[in-house]
Amino acid sequence: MAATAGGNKIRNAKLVLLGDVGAGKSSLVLRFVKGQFVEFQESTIGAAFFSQTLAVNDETVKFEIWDTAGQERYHSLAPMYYRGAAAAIVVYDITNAASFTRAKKWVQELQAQGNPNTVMALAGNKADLLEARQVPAEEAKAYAQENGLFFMETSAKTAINVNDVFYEIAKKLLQGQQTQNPQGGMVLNQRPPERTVSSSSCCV
Amino acid sequence: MASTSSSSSRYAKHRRIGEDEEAEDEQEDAEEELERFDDFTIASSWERFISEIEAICRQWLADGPKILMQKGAEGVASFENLYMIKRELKHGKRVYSMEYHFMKSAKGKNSYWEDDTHSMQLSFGVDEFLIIAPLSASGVVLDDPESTKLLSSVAIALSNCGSNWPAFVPIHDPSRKAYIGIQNLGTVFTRRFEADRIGSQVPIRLMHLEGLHELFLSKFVLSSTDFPARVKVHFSMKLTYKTPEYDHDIETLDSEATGSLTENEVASHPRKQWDDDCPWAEWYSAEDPVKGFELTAIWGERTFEETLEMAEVENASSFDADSWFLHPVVSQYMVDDSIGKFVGFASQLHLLVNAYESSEEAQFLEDLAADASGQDNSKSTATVPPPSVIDRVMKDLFSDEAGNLNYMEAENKYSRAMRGAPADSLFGQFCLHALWFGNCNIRAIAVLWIDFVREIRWCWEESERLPRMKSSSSIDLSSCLIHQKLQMLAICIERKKSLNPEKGAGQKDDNSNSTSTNKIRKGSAGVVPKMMLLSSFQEMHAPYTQDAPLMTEDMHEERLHAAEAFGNAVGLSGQLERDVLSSDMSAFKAANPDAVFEDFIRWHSPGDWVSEDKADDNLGWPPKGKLSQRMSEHGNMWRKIWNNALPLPVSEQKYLLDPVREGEKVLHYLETLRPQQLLGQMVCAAFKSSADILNKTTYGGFKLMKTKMEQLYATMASTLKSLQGNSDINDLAGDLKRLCQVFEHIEKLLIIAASIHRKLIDAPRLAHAIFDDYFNYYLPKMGTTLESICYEKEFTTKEKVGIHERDAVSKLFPPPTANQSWRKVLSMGNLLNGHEPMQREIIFSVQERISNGHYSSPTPLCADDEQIQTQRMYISGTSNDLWVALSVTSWD
Repeated sequence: MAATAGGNKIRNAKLVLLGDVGAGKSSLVLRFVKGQFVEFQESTIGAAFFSQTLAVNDETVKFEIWDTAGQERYHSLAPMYYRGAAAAIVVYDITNAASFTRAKKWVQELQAQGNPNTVMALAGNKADLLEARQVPAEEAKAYAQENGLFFMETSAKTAINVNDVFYEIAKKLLQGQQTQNPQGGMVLNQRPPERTVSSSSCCV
Repeated sequence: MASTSSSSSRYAKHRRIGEDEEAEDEQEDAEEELERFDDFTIASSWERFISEIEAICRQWLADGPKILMQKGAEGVASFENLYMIKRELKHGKRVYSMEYHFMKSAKGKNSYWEDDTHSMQLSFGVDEFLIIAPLSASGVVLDDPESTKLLSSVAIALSNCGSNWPAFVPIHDPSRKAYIGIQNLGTVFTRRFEADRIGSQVPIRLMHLEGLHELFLSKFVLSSTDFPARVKVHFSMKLTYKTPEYDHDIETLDSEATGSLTENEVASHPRKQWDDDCPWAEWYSAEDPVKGFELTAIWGERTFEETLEMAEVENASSFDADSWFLHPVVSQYMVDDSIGKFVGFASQLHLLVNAYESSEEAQFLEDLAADASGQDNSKSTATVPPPSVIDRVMKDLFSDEAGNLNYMEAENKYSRAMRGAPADSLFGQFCLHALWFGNCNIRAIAVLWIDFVREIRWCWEESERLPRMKSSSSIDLSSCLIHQKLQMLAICIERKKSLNPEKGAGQKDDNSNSTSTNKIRKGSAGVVPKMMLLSSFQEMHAPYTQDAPLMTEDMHEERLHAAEAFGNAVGLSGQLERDVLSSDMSAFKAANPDAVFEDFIRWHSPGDWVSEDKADDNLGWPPKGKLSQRMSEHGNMWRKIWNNALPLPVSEQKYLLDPVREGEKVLHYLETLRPQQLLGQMVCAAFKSSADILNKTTYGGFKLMKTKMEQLYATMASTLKSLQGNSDINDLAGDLKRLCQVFEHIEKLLIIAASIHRKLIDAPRLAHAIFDDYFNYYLPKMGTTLESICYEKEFTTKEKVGIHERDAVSKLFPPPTANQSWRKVLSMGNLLNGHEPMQREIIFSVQERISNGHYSSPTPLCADDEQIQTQRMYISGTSNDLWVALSVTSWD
C-alpha cells in the first residue's frame, strides 16, 4: 500500500467529515479539493466522495474524503463512513449553538465507537460571520483540549484555515505512524510495525 | 543479640589490628632469623593446615562483608540477606571446603522465626558462621577423631586471629544432619554446639512439650541430682499446619454437613470440581493450582518455670498464638511451561494458530475435509472426531434454548480492534467449540465448518431464526466479517419471514385503496407535534420509514472502491442515501396526501427551513417561513427526487434491502470461504472469546490481575490487528504463538487468582496480599520468549494473617470427618480444628545474669547487656522425626 514514487511515499488516509445540517462540511471539502466556494452549496444527499493529495515535507498523503450528510435520518449510516477512518473532522457552525451541541455528540460517538487511533479535528466553520457568532472560540477550544482534539476556526468562504486543518491532520497522521506505540500492551517482537495509516483501503 | 555481636566485632577488630601488627613483626623477625630458626608453628602438616585456615580467616576478617561481597561472595539461595564465601583447603589427602556465611545487614533481635533465617542460624542462635566439611559425596565427617581434630583446628585458627565466629563440622550420616561446633567468646566463655536427629520411633515422651522441656533441663543440670527448684526457661514455638488435600474429598470443604456422608454416598455423587462455577468450566476443567495452605502459628517468647506449664501450652488453642502466617502451596504446573503441561484456552489457541499456519496449503475447505477419508489414521495429529461428536456440537450450537442472547459482555476499548465476535454469538461459539473439537487440527475444523454452514443453509431455507444471534437491525462493523455476514443473514431471515405472508394481503388492500382515492392517509406512524402542513390546515404525520439499508464491511468497501474509481461522476457514492431519501419521500407523501416539498423539508431536514414565526409556540397557520437558500436553488436535487417520488407507504415500497438476494449472497460467501480467510477470522474470534470468558471470572478484583488482563487485551488488539492486513502468514504465526504464551501466563494467573479468591473469600485483604506475592514471584516468567524459563526458586512468601482474619483462615482446616480422624493417630497435641501440626519447632533458652564482680575481666558479650544466653535448645519435630540442636556456653 505504501507505494513508492520517486522516493516519495504516498500514504492513503481515509477522512470523514461529520456535523450538523448546514455546518458547511461540503463547503470545506470543496474549498480544500477544488478551491471553490459556492454561497449556497446544495445539501448533500447521503455522502459524497472526494480525494486530494497533500505534501508534507517529503511525504505525500492522499486523502480519501467522505463528506457525509448531516440529516439525522442518515445517522445510522455514519458508522460505515467513520469506521476505519484515519481521521475525522467534526464540523460545526460558529453562528449556530445547536450545531456545536451536535458536534459534541459526534465526538462522543467517535470516541465510543470509532477507531481509537483516529485523528480527530474540531472545526468551527463560518468564522467569517463574526457578528453572528454564538459559540465562543474559547469554549470550543477548551472542549477540544479536554477531549484531545485539535481545534481550528475555519471559513470555507474566505478559505481561512481550511488547508491548515487538512495539513495539520496529515502531519499528525505521519507523526502518529512513526510513534505507533503498543498502547499499554506487552511487546511481542522487535519487528517494526509496517502498517500504513489507513486500514480501510486494504485489499480484501 | 545484634548489639552484642556488633560490639564484639568492634572489639574483635580492635584486637585484630593489634595482632596483625604482631604478625607482621613476627614475619619480619622470621625472615631476619630465617637461617637460624626453624618455624615450629608450621612444622607438622596439622599445624600447616591450621595456619592455612588462619590465613583465610584473617583475610575474610580483614575484608568484612562489604568487600567480600565485592570480591564475589555469592548470595545463599532463597535468603536475601545471607551471603557466603568459600575456599578449599587440603590436609593430607583430604580436601576440605570452608564456607563463611555472613549477613549483609545485621538482623533484629528475636527474629529467628523469620523466613530469612538459615537453618544454622535458627538451630544454634548464631548470626554469622563458618562451616568446614570434607569435599566428598556425603559432605560430612564420618569418623569421630577426624571431626574433633577438624573442629579443634578451626577453633585454634579462629582463636589465633581473635575471631569469635562459630564454627561447625557436619558429622555422622548426612540424613542425621548432625553437627558439632564451637564458638570462642572472648577470653572467658566458650560456646559449644551439637545437633542430632532421631529419624524414627521418637519416644512418646519427646513428642510432647513436657518431655521436651525435661530434655532441655536435663542437658545442663546433669551434675546435680535433682533439678533446681525453679529455672526460668524462655520458650518460643512455631507450629506449621498444612490443610488437608483438597482434591481428596472436596465436599468436606464446602460444608460441614457433608461430613456425615459415608464413602458410598460420596462415590455415587458426580465428582465436584473446584472450578465448576468458573466461566471456563463450560470448556475445560483446570487443575486447582492451590494445592493447599500452610499455616504458621508463632508463639513469641514467654517464660516458664515449671514443666507442668508446658502441658497447658500444648493444650492451648492455636488462636492464642502471637501471630499467624499463611502460605499457599502452589502446584508445580503453574511454573512448568513445557508444551502439553497446561491445558486451557492458551493451549487450544496454540493449536488453532498451527491450523492457521497450515491453512495456506488448501484452496477449498472441502479439499481439507475430503482428505479425512483418504489417509485415515495415518497422521494421528489430523484425526477428525466421529460424527456423534459433530452432532453433539451442532446440537449445542443450534439448540433452541440458546435463544436470543443479548451479548452481556463487558465492552472494552480493545474489543473493537480485535475484529472478533461476541463469545456467546453463533460464530463465537463455533470458534470455541472448534478449539476443543478433536485437537483443533485443520481437517477437524474444515469438517466442522462444512457441517456448520450446512446447518445455516437449512435455517435460511426454512426461514428459521438463526440461534445465538442478537435480534437487532444493525450490523456491527467492528466484528469479524463472518459475524457481520451472520448478522446480515439473521436480519434477512427476519425480513424474509415477514415478507411472505404479508405481501399478498397488503397488495390487495393497496389496490382497492388506490383506485378509490389518492387522498387516503397510509403508513402513518403518528402525528408530529406542533407541525401543520403548509397547504392545508392539517396535522403533519410522520410516516413509517424503511430501516436504513444494511451493509457488511465488504459491501461498503466495494462502494468505496467504486467511488474511488469513478469519483462522483456517476453519483455512485450517494446512491444508497438517494434511495433512502426517495423512499422516505414516498412514505411521507403517503402519510400526508396534501403535503408539499417544504413540509417534507420541515420534517426531514429542519435546518433547511428558515422559520419566520416570532415565537415557537405560536400555532398560527399557515406557518411563516421559507426554504433555506440552498434548498430553493434552481435544479435542486432534493426537489427533483421529491417530484419523482410516488406516494407509497413502506409496505408497498420496494425493499431497500432485498432480503432474498442478500441472504443468498451471505450463504454464497460462507460456502466458498477460503480456508485461510476462515482460519484468520477464527483466530481473532477465538482469542477474543476466550479472553472474554476468562475475563468474566470473579477473582476479587485483584488490582495486578486486572492490569494484566487489560494488558492482555491491548496486546491481543495490537497483534490481531495485523491479521487484517496482508502480512506474511509465517511472520504472523510467530507473533501469534508469542501471544499464546502471554495468554497462557495470564490464564494461569487468573486461575490461581480465582482459586485464592474463593478459598479466602472471607479474608479479601489476605487473598489480595497472597495473590500479589505470587504474582511478584511469577512475574519474571512473563518474558515473551518462547523458551520457558526454568524456575529453580520456589515460592515461599508467607503472608501475615490479621487477628480478624483468623476465623476465615481456620475455615481452611475443616474438622476432620469421623473417617479421617480414626485413620490417623494423633500424637503431638497443639491441635487446630483437630489437625495436628505438620511440624513443631521450639526454642528453649536460659539466660543468666553475670555480675561484673564475679567475672572481673570485661567480656565482649556483656558490654551493654548483663544477660547472656547460657543454654539454648532448638527442637524441630514432626510425629516421627525429631531434630535437636543444643548450644551451651561455659566458662573455663
